Amino acid sequence: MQTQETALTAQICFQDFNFYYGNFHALKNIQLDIYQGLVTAFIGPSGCGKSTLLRTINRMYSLYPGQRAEGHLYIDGEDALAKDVDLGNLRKRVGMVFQKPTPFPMSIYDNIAYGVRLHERLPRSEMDARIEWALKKAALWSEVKDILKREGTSLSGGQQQRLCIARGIAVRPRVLLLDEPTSALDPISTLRIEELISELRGEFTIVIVTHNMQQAARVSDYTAYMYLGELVEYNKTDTIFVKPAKKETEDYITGRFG
Amino acid sequence: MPTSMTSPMPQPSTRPRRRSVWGDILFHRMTQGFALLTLLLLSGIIVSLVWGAWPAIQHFGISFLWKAEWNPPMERFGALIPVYGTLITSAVALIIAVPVSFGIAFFLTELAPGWLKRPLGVAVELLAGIPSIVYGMWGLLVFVPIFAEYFQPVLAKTLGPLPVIGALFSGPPIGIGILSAGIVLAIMIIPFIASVMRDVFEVTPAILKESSYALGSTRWEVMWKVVLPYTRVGVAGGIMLGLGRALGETMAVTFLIGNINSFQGFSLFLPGNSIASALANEFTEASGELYTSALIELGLILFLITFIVLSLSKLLLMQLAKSGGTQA
Repeated sequence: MQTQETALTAQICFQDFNFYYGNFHALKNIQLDIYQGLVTAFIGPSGCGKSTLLRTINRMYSLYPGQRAEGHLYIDGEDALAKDVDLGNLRKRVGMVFQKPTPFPMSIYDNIAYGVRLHERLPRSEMDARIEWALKKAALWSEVKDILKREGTSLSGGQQQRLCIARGIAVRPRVLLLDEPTSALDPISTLRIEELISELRGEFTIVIVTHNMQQAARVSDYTAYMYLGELVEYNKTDTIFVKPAKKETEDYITGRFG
Repeated sequence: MPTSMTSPMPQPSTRPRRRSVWGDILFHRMTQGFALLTLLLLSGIIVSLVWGAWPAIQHFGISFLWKAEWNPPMERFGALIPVYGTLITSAVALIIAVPVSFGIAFFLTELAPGWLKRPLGVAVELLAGIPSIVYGMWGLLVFVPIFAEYFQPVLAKTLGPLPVIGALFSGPPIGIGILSAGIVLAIMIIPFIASVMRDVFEVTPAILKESSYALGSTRWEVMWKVVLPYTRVGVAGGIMLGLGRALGETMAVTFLIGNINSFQGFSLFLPGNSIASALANEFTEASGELYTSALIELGLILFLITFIVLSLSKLLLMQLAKSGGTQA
C-alpha cells in the first residue's frame, strides 16, 4: 500500500450528497473524494449505506422509481447527476461487479463480448484480442482459453466471479465498482479475487464495498467507515486501522460493535 | 411431576403414528388410482377414436391425409383442407400473438409504473376468462365488418404487391376467412402467452438485470439479450401452451373461418375450414357410417397433431434446458 502523497487525483467527488429511498433518508450529507488508480474500501455495519453509496456512482438507482439523489457527484469532473447524463456512456466508464456471480446465459466468449458490443463495433480479430486481454487481466485466461464456447454458468463460483470482473474490464472502464464481490465465494476463490484487485490497482480506480474488515485492510489504500447513512471517517487504510481519529471507528474496527 | 409427565407421553405418540401409516397407504393408493385413471381415459379415448374411424381408415387408407376433396353426397372424403386450415390459422395466431405477448410482458415487468402493473396484469388475465363463443360472436358481428371495411383493403394495397407473401393478401376483402380466424385466435391466446412470459420475466434475478444495466445496456438490450435467453425455457413453454389452445379452438373459429371445404387458394383472405370447426358443424348432420367415421378420423388427426406438437415442445424444452438455461 505505497501511496505517494503527491499526484493524487480525485476522480469521484461527492459533495453535499444526500440519497433517499422514498421518504427514507439513506445517505446524509456525504463529502468524499475517491482517488484515481487507488483502491478505496467502504466498510460499516449492515444497513449503513455503503452499498447504496456505491450504487450511486454508476447511477444504478435510476432504474428504480422512488430512489433519488441530491447534491453533487462529479466523475472525471463531469456532473454525474445531471438530467441529461448518458447513462450508457457513464456505465461504460464505471463498471460494476455484484455480490453474487452473474454470468449471462451465453458462452464465456459472448459473456465478455456482450458489454464490448454495446459500445464498440470491433472486427472479429480485435474482439478476440480484447477478450483474451480481459480474461488475462482477470486471471482467468489459462483456465478457460480452450472452453470459450462453453456456457458461462458451467464455471465454478470463483471462476464465474472472475468472468464477471473480466466482463467489466473488457469495456475498458476507468472505475470498477465491486459490491461485496467475495461474499458468495469460498476462501480460496476470495484470495484469488483479492490478488486480482491488487493487480488491477493503478490501472483502474477501484471502489470496493466489503463487510469483511480484514479484506478492506488487505486490499485498499483508502477506507471509508460509514454508519447510519453518514460518512464517519475517511482516511488512508493504514491510518483507519492503526490510529483511527474517531472513537466510533475504533469501536467498529476492534470488533467492539457491529 | 416428572413421572406423571413421562407416562402419558408414549400413548399419544404411538397412536397417531399407527393411524398415519394406514392413512399413508390409503392416500398413496388413492392418488395412484387417480393417476392411473387418466392413463386409462387417455387410452380409452384413443381406442374409441380409432374404433370409430376404422371404416374410413379402411376405405380411404393413408391418402385420406392429403386428399383435398370433401364430398358427403358422393361419400368421398379427404382431410387436407381442414388440416391445412387448422395449421395455418394457428400459425397466423402465433405470428401475431408471440410478439404482442412479449411486448405486454416486457411492458408489465420493466416499463409500467407500479400503480398500473396490477390492473393491467389482471385485465390481461381476464381476457383468458372470456368464453370462446363470445369471442366468436364478437368476431363475427363486430370485428369482421370493421376488418373487411378498413383493414383488409389496406393490407391488400400494402402487402399485396410484394413478391411471395403478396399472394397471401390477395382476393376480395370479405372479412370472414382464415386471416380473421387467425387474428381472433391470436387475441384468445395472448393472455396465456403473455401471463406466462410475465411470470418468468418477473422471476429473473434483479442482480442479473442490473449486471447488464451496469455495462451500459438499454432496457431493450437487457430484455432481449439477457432476460429472454435466461427465461427461454419458460417462454417456449408459454408459446406451446398458446399453440395447444389455438389448434383445438372450436367455437370462435367456426364463427369466423367460413367453413368451406374446398381449396380456394393460398390467400389468407379466403375462407377455409379447420378440423374442430368441421366437426362442430357437420357431426349432427352426418348421415351414413362412412361420413361419421371420416369425421371421427378428423378428430383422431387433430389429436395426433396436438400430440406431436406437445411432444416436439417437450423435446425442445429438454434441449433448451440442456444447453444451459435451466431456469423456467
